Amino acid sequence: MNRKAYVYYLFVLAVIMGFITAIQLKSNFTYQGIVTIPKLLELQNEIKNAEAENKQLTESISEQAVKLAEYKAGVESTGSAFGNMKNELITMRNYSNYDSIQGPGIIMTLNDSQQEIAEGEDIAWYLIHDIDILEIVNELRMAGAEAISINDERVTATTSIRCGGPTINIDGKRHAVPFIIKAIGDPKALEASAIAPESYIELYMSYSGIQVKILQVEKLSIEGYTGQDKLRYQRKTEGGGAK
Amino acid sequence: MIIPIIGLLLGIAIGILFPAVIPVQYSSYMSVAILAALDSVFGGIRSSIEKTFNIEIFISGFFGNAALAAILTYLGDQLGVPIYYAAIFAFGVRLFQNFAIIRRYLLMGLKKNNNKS
Repeated sequence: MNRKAYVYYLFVLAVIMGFITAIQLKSNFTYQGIVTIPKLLELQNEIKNAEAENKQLTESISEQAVKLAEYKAGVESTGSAFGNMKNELITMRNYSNYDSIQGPGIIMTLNDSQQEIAEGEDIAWYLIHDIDILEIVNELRMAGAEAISINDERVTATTSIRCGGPTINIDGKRHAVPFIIKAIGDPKALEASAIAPESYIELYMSYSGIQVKILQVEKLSIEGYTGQDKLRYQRKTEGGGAK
Repeated sequence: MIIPIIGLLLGIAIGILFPAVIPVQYSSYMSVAILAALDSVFGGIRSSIEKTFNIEIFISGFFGNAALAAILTYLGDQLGVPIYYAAIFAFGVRLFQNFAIIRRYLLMGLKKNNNKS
């Protein structure tokens, strides 16, 4: 091949070389290192989370739109949004535990054990403690309890259950045995959660003979929370929307 | 010598005016391919000074090296092993070596010319 001919090949190669170099430089990448599989998965997760958040936000937009439409309809029909607000207030109050309510549920009566204490055993094993009450309340909630009271003391989101020597302090008020725990929810589910083989009562309380009586009730009423409003510090965050 | 330089400038101009950009996930393949092509170019310059230049070898090296480098990079990405570095290292070392040889030839050539005059 003579010199003339391959100069054209070189020309074509030079064009290609210049082209890809220029296009690469133009694309202006920041170097991100090798994309390894763990890194890839991490990024995938991030994207997934962002998408989920996005979806949630979109849903909340449509929810708010529905609410807005309801308000508008209320204003148009009655001249004010008062009716809507009242409905909302009722919904909120159902969650706030301030109102007395009724519904199906169970009544659980707990009393200290009457068994003889064997030698070398601790009397504390045969008594009901704050932690027992806490665990039972937690299990009831898991079983779908909507409202719970202990000795007619409504359990709210901020209720404390604490040991007070021979008594138990619920929201700072002393209560002694027997403890009557009322819970509104599906009576069967609530009872099943309490007497299931893996439940707290079966695992930790039946051995020492602590007396547990569970009664399913068709119509149970639970008193509302009667203490003071305890929310003094929390404020809504800036830009904090619904949810 | 002037024709390849014109070609290079033409290619750069086309590249700048071309409307598309490379998607970010292919950028590493492209940069390795460019490095491989650059290595071929230096090899070609060296061989042309040594008067052993062969256009078939040059062209096959130009495209073959670029493709192999890109494929290796892809394989490394799939395996989670930075084979990428192997290509950079190999081509980088060769590039500098070729450049060193070219430099020696050029400097020796200059000296010879000086001695003549």
